[in-house]
Amino acid sequence: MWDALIINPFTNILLLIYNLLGHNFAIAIIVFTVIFRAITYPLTVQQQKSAKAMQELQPKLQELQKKYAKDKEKLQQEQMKLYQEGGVNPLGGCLPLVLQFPIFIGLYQVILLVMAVSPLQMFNLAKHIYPWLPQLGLPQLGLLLPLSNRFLWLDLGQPDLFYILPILVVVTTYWQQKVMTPPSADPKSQAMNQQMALMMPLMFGYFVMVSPSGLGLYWLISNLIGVAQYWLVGRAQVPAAASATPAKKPELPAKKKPELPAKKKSPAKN
Amino acid sequence: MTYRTLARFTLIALLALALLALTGCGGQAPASSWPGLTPGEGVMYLAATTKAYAINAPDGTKKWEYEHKIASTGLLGSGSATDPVHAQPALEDGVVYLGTDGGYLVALDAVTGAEKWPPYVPETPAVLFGLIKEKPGPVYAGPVLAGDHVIFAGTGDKIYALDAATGKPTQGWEPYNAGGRVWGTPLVVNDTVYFGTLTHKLIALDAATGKERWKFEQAQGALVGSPVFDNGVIYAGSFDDYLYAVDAASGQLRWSYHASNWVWEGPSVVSGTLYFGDVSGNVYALDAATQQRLWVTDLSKLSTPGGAVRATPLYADGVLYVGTDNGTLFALKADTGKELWLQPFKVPNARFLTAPLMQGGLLLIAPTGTPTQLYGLNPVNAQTQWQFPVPTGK
Repeated sequence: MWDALIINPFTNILLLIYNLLGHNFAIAIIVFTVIFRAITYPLTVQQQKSAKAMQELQPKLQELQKKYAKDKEKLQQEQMKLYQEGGVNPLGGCLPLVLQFPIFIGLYQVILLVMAVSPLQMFNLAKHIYPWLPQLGLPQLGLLLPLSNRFLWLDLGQPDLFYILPILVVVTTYWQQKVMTPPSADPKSQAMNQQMALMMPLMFGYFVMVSPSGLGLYWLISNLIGVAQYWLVGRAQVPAAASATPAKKPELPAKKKPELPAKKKSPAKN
Repeated sequence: MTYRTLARFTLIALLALALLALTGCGGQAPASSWPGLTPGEGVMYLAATTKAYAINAPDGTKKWEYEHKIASTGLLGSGSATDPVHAQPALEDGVVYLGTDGGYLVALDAVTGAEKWPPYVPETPAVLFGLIKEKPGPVYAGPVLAGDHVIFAGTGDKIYALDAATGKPTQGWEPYNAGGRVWGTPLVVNDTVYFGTLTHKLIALDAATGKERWKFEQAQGALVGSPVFDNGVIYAGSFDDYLYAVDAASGQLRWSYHASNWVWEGPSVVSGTLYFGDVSGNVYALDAATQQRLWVTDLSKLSTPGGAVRATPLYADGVLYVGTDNGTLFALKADTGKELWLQPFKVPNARFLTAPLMQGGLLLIAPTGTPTQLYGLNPVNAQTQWQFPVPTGK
């Protein structure tokens, strides 16, 4: 089922793009990534709108945090009530991520599959290519293999010898994390967000370091598109690091001095 | 901690695990090719990814094993790592020659498994002002012997020749740049070496000097398998779905036959009949003189369906033995293409991508993807006589 719905169509589309774009695999990966980020754009917009709505609730969430600091259960109840009143689903930003998850995995697998740097990989690729495409006037995709793997300094079928791509992936993953993760009222969540902001880039940097650089190229382009999409939705600044904007202290009315009763004049003496 | 943060963290952790699995970081790297199998005198030589083995053919017991290790460096420091072996071993004058994924050519004593000379790896260029050396390219094609030297396809898409006795580069042989990867074991006929490339060429070299004799460039697809020679003709399969017949002396096209899908390996040739398969699971019998198709059997349509055919079928005593990608081994009558066995031999989760062999009256098949690395079968009824290694618990 996974092959029929994801791997086979993605494989043939990527090869057709490669054929159309002058047999340049790097350009094919870039265009392929752009197309799929465009298709998942509505999901990305929904994710970012949810994040924005959450951000707007931050001051009120912080008030609740202060008010119910010693009563976690009550705090959670009040938070849920606030989400409901504000029409925000706390998991709303995660649902698009869940839906994009299989697509990311599929794209990752397909790029690995199509690069086919070993005999077994090439043989495995055979069963994913639609043999009936020539009957529709489309090219016989087997004739394209092996793909031309060179791009600038990269051999797309091998890890980047110079480590430039892993560094770029670390930087862009961090950047995307920072622009897309709103600050949190909960200190524990904020601490975890900070940890993820550091761990994720390093983790993906490591993957790219040990993987064929075609995959690294895909991650890099995907990150850049993610940041660009975020700007399109409306947020143009990288938020301040770590903590949320401190809440303004509520303005208390100016204290009036109490009015003292007027002094009675004492009667004059003869 | 909010639900949102916890959910995001969980999703990212799942994605990380999935990517770890996909990049093979969680354990042993997946095999890059299928096992290589070569017969000797009562012994089979098997290149089975982590190790090479010499296995006694009558009973499947191990004679010796060999593991090639190379230095490796990583984030956590340096050490040594297993260098996988897949290429079909070559056997000549009591020496077994192996190619490795790390780009080495190894020569072992056929009786003891001891190295005859230090494994050889071609020099690779250095880049970035000499600070980084390119890794050697893998040797997927089996080495071949021509006279006193051993020829193999290695780093940089080149064909190398070493003195078989010393392991040093052959004097007078300049490594030949094939212009593309060579994955099929070359063929030596008299004084000529023939091989196909992934860049759609079939090339003939002088076996003594490595000089090009001719180059056939009419194929539209990659020529990944080993060519076959018969009666002055070289046969080679291609990814353009054709089987090509090329004049061995001149490199001129004699004829070509259009199959249904990729033809990976050259055919078996028996009494003027060519037997070969394609990756759609079809097996063909062609008359070599007239190119008339004598029969075709679609294995995927049989009662126990077969998968893609990668390897050359084995002909023995009027029977054609064909392994397929879904772990099914068939015996077909060579004159009609009909099934001989009541049931094909099937192994769950296995892939039969290596050509079967006959040795000492036993049919030998090396699966890919299972703990069992070699089966010895009764060719009459497909009964298992032995397995290597012996399954645990037996």
